[in-house]
This record gives sequence, structure tokens and C-alpha cells, in this order.
Amino acid sequence: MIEARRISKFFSIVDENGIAAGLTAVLSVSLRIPSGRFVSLVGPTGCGKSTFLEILAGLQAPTEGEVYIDGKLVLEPLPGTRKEMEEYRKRYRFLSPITNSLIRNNPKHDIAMIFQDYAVFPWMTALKNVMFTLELRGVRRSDRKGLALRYLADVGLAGAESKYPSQMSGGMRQRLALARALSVEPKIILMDEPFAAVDAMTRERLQDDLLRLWEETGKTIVMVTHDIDEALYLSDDIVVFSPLPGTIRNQIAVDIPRPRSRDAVDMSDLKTRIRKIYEYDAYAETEYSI
Amino acid sequence: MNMKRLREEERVDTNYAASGWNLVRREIFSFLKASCGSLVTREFLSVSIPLLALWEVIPRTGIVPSSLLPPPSYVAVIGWEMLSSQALLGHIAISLQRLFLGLLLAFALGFPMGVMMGWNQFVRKHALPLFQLLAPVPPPAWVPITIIVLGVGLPMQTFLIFLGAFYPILFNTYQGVKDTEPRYLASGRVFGASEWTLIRKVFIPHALGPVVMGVKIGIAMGLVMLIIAEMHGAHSGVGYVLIESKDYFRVDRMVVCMIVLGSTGWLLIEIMKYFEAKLAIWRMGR
Amino acid sequence: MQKAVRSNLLGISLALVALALVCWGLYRAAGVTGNGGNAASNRPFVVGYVRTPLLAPVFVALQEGTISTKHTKHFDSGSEIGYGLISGDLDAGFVEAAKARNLLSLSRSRGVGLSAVGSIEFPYGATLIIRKDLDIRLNDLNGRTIAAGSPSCRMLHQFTADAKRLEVDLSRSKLIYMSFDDMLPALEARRIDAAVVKGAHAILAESEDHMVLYQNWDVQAGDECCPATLSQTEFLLIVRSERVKDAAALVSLLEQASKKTDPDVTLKATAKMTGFPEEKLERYPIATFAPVSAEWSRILGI
Repeated sequence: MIEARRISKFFSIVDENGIAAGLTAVLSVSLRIPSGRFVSLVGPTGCGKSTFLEILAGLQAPTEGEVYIDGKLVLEPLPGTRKEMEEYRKRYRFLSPITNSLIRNNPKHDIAMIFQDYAVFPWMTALKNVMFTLELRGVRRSDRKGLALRYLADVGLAGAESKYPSQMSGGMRQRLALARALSVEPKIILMDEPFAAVDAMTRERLQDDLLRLWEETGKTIVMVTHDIDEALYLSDDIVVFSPLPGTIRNQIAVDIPRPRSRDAVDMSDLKTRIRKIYEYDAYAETEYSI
Repeated sequence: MNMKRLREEERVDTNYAASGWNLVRREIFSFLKASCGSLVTREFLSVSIPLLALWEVIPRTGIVPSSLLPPPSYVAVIGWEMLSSQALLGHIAISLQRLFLGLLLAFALGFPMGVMMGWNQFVRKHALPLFQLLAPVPPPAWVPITIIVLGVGLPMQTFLIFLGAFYPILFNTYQGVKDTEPRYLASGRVFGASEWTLIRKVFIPHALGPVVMGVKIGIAMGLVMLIIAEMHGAHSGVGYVLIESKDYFRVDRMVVCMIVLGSTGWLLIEIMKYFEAKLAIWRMGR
Repeated sequence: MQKAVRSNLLGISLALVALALVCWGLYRAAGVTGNGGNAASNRPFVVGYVRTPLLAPVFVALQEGTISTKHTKHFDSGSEIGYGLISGDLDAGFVEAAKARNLLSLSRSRGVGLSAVGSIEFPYGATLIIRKDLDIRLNDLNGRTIAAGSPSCRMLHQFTADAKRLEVDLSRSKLIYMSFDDMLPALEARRIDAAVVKGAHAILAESEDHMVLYQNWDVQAGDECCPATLSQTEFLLIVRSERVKDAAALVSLLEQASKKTDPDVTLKATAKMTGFPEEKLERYPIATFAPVSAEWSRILGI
């Protein structure tokens, strides 16, 4: 179970006129995601959902708020002084550009993340990519290859081990990213618009494969997407974000039983509901206070 | 052009199937095809053959005296003589030894330094300005002070060649590592990779393209400094033969030296270009 | 339409005129087919020389004051003198005999006429030089690498005969053959330890601080590797053709200096001008100057 309590992220930026300004990307977001659920975060582009996801992953530290995994505190805002930083580093085995270790790999088995682009390394073959994450996980060298082949087969890349990402289609690359994510056997998989860069047909196949894997493994999946149809098709819950500063507008449970069909009527009802929330935000420009 | 690309990719695919001696043979063959292949195309032959013919005819008909512009036939004869009875091969070997020594030193120092500067802000802020100040000094300007400090001999020559090759390798490596796409780093870090693993498996492979380019420029500059170094007090090497030919007023020997140097440079650059082509498979088309 | 065409033509012709001017200017500046101008004949006659004991007559003349220093200029090598002659910075100069023929053909191709008016002769002799850092005697030569001109070289025969006579064992020393000009560089590069060379080369070696272990001045040149007339000539006095007449006076001065002077005076003058120590110079014969021989004129094609 992954829980975010009052997460805020504030950037200080310099705007076009050269004047210092503040940018609140995420404003006091609190969210609890139970184990085994498939949750989608939707919202207009640039509303801070990706930032929120990266905070969950530990790639960024929040300005305020905490992240808990299975009840254990894993992330809180960065401390001010260096001494406190050392203790901070010792206490939390999380990853952030400033705190991941110099020599030793610190595999975090709780979380794996998939990005929209640049999710896999183009200078390694598919096999080597998966073997990379296996090595980080600490698997013995002799077992790595066999295990990697198994994960590749699971995502449907059985014959493509020796191919380089540049030789694979976009859909195959995302499968490879999925294989890497699965290979560390995480409890939670975070995805940042994973299927945005592939064509519609491939997207549908990938969504089906993702559902199958989710049902087989029972992992928690949190996915950021701007495609409402995709969210409705895949998830148990949809969390709707507002435009900047990102806060949670609403959380909608998708009760439609699985397997779902993409054109069902109840889907379109929910879609209209979500659309209405979007339009209200776009036209009403409400101020959000905590 | 798309078809050619496809063929190259297929060839690379089959290469991965071979191993051992077969692989070496196939690599050498495809290298020769790539390098000499661009020279013996119909288009270039239609330029090179007339030029050679012109070069042969002009001195022979006396338009330009042959002691100023020796025709290719003379040059070939003299070149053969130099190779067989005047130890030109020995001089070439010595020059190549010096070149590789200097290049190796430049790479051994420049590559790690470039990686460190690209990877870490702290190192970069301390070291980069120093190199940016020293680099603009043209390497030939270092010759007098090098002669005073190191004398004339292998240390001086190695140092000068090192100077020529160091900065291109350093700056290109730095640029390549610095420009590593942050998303690749994020996708490595999220799995818990340490900085050392990231350097080995993300920063360096991602930067190999610029590194190879830096090495190419380094080779070119190293060759320049090799000749300059050998022209100052060396007793062996192609640069020395060049200077000696000038002392003996022998233009034909000078031309042989120039051809030797040009061919060496061409071969080394072709080898680097071959590596670059092999790396191209890593680049994802957008 | 007319106006446009006219202005185009104007532009093109102006560009062509400018181009022609630039080319003419470059042509004059480069002076490829000649030196800079008529002032040459009004300029004092300048002779270039190198600071080697082989040019003893020159130093004697300078010492005695028969040639004034404003007519001479010293250089580091005979090749620089050669290029100076071609470009017109010098009117005359001493160039090594081995380089003279190539120099003349190169200058001809540049449109500059050069001719030889005198030569510096030096006795041939056989010498064994060893590298400066080798502190050994003749007896220690065994096992070392020695260079010689060719297997039939007379100097080599003389040396091996003398070595046998002096009971020096050379059975284990390695002989390699190379041209004389390559020997000093090979010595410096430590590829060889010793070399059998003619007397003039020994002087050159000693000026680089190498050492002479053996000398025999009775050897005359005259075999395939060292033809007689040419091997004793060390330098040729090369003059620009248009100043050959002015050079006649120089030639007779040098002849005088060569024939008449007391050896002791020559020694002191040479030592002073070259910095070569007198004790070392005493072991060598003295170079002589003579007008250029017919043989040389034939070889050089003048």
C-alpha cells in the first residue's frame, strides 16, 4: 500500500521577464492506494501529475508532505543542513540524484517506474537491458540470462532478445520497459504515460497485455495518463487532477466488472462525468486553497 | 538511402552470429570495403584518374620543372627505393610508436577526466576553467618550452603529441557525458543503480559517439604534433626524413613523406569512422 | 532589362580587374621567378658560411681582415645557405658537396641561376667514432654495433687491417651498412655504437661531442662507395650566376688564405671562430680551398 500525505512541490523559477516567481506544481495532495489496485491519475497536460509520480518513485523530494509504503515512512522533504542530510541519507533508502550511493547499488524492491520515452537503454540489447535490472536486484550471474529470457517471454518479446531498441518498434520498446520493471519484482509499478507514443492498435494490445500481467501478478499499478478512455478501460480508481497547481479534484471508483469492453455504455457515462470536471476547471479558473 | 541502411543493419545482424577468427575476418573485410570502397567509386575515379594523369604530364612536358613537382612515376620509384633500401619502414614504425604513445597517454588522461567533469558538478567547477584557459594555447607554441624542459627525445615528442590530442578528447568526452539524457539516468536510478553503475552503464555508453569524434580530432592533432616534434632535433621518424629531404633539396623525397603521412592519417581516421558506424546502431531514430 | 545587363557586366569586369590586380601583386610579391629587383647589384656582396673547422680558409681570411665581416653571414646549416641563395638573401655561400647537385637543379627549376666557383678539400682518412656516452677503448669494441658505408668500403678494410695489427678482436661485433649521412643520426638515436667514417665526418661528430677512437690519414678515397675526386670535396662555393664576376675576387682571396698561411695561425683562427678546442683541432689536417675543378663543373652541369 502506498500513501502520500499532503505532498506539495514548489519550484522557484525565473519567468520570461526575469522576475523571480514561484511555481507550485503539486499542492497538498493526499492519496492512499491500497495494494493490488490499478489506479490512474488523469488530468490536463502539465498539471503536475508526472511530478507527483516522480515524488512517489523517490526521484524527487517533496517540499512538504510524506510518502509511506506499507505504513513505513520512506520519503520526506530534504533537510537544510549537511549533518541532517547525512542522517537523512542513512535513514531512508530512497533514490534521488543527491542521495543514491556512489558505489553500491541500492535496489529498491518496492517500486519500479516506466517512462514514456527513454525508458530503455538503446546501447544494450533487450536481453542486456533486462539483465541490467536483474544485476541491480542482486541476482547471480549464472541465473541472470535465464531469468531475463523468462521475463521477456512474459511480455511477449520471446524472439527479440538480441535486438537493439533502435531495431524495435515503439510498442516493443514499451514491452521491454515493462519487462525491466517486472524483473525487479516490485510491489508497485508506476507508469508515466507509457502508451502515449505508440499507435492506437499497438496501444490496445499493450493495454490488454498489461491487464493480463496485472491480474496474474497482483501488483499495485499507478498510471499517469491523459487518455480518459485508457484510464476507464484499465483502472479500478481514477484520480482526477486539476490544472496547475495540481491538486486532487475528485477520485472516481470505476465499478464496471472486468473484462471490460471499450465501447460499453457505463464507460461513456463515467467519461462524461470526468469531462465535465475538466471543462469546469478549464473555464471556471477556481482558486484552490488548502 | 533507406535501402542501404537496411543492408548495413542486416550485415551487422549476421556479424553477431559469427565469433572468433571468422568474426575478425569479416570485420576486416567489411572495414576494407567501407574505407577503400569510397575511393574506388565510379564518381571519384572520374576525378582521381584525370588528376593523376595531369600530375604525371605537367612535369614531364616541362610546364612546371620536375624538381619542383615530381610526377607520380618518379615519386613511386623514389618511394620504393626509400622503403626497400633506406629504412623508411623503420622510420614509419618509430613515428607510429611515438604517435600511439602520445595518443594513449592523451586518452588515458583525457577520457577519465572528461567523464569526471561531465558527471560531477564539483569536479567540473574546479577543473574545467583551468582547461579552458590552457586549451587555446596552440600546441606548436609549446614546442620551445618543451625543448628547454624535456630536451629533445622521446619524452618531448610524447608530450607534444599528448598536448595535441588531449584537449579534443577531454572536451568531447566532457560534452558527451554532460549531455546524457536525464531520463536514462532516472530510469536507472529508479531501480537503485549507484553512481558508479550509472557511469559505467549509462554515462559512458551514451557518450561514446562524442568520444569517438574527440578521438578522431585527437588523432589529427596528434599527427600534426608528431611532425612538428620530429622536425625539431629528432634523429628518426618520418618528420625527420622530411626535414632531411629539405636539407638535401630533394622535393621527391618530401612528396613521399607527405604521401606516407597522409595515408597514415587516412587509415587511422577510417578506423575511427568504422567504429562510429558500428555505434550508430545504438542511436534510436526519432 | 538593358540596365540590369549593363550593371551586371560592369560588376563582373570590375571583379575581373580586381582579381587580375591581386594576382599580379601576389606574383610580384612571391618573386618565384627571380629575386627582389635591381637593387641586388648595388648591395654589398654577402657570403654565407657555417661554423665548421672544414671552412678554415674562410676563418683565416676573416682573421687577417682580407674579408670583412660585413660581407659574411653565418648560418646553422648548408641547407639554409642554399635556400638563402635561391631567395636572393645571399650572393654566395658554402654548401655541402653532397647537397650541391640537388640545390642546383632545384634553383634552376625556380628560375634562379647558380654556379660553383670553388671547392673546399679535406683529406679523406679513416676514422672510427663512438657515441659520446660510451667510455670504452678499442679493445672493448667487441659485441658492439658498428656502421660502415658498404662491405667493400676502403676505410672499413683499412680499419679492420689496423685492428688486426693492433690485436683488437672484432669477431663478435655486428656490422651494419648505411649511408654516411645516416650514421650520425643513427648514433644519436642509439641504433649504432660506432661508425667507420671519413675525416670530415669525424669533425662533425666531434663537434657533437662524440669521440674518435682511431684515425688513419693515409687512406685515399677511390672505391665504389667513395669515388676519388668527389669524396675529398666537402663544400662547394656556390654563387648566384649574375654575381659570378664579383665572386672572382673572393675566390682569389680564399686561395691565398689557403696556400700561404702558417698552420698555427690557421689553427688559432679556426678555434676562435668555431669554438672547436685547439687540442682536438691539432689532430686533424687543414682544409684547403681551390677553384672549382672541371670534374665538378661537369657533374653539376655548369
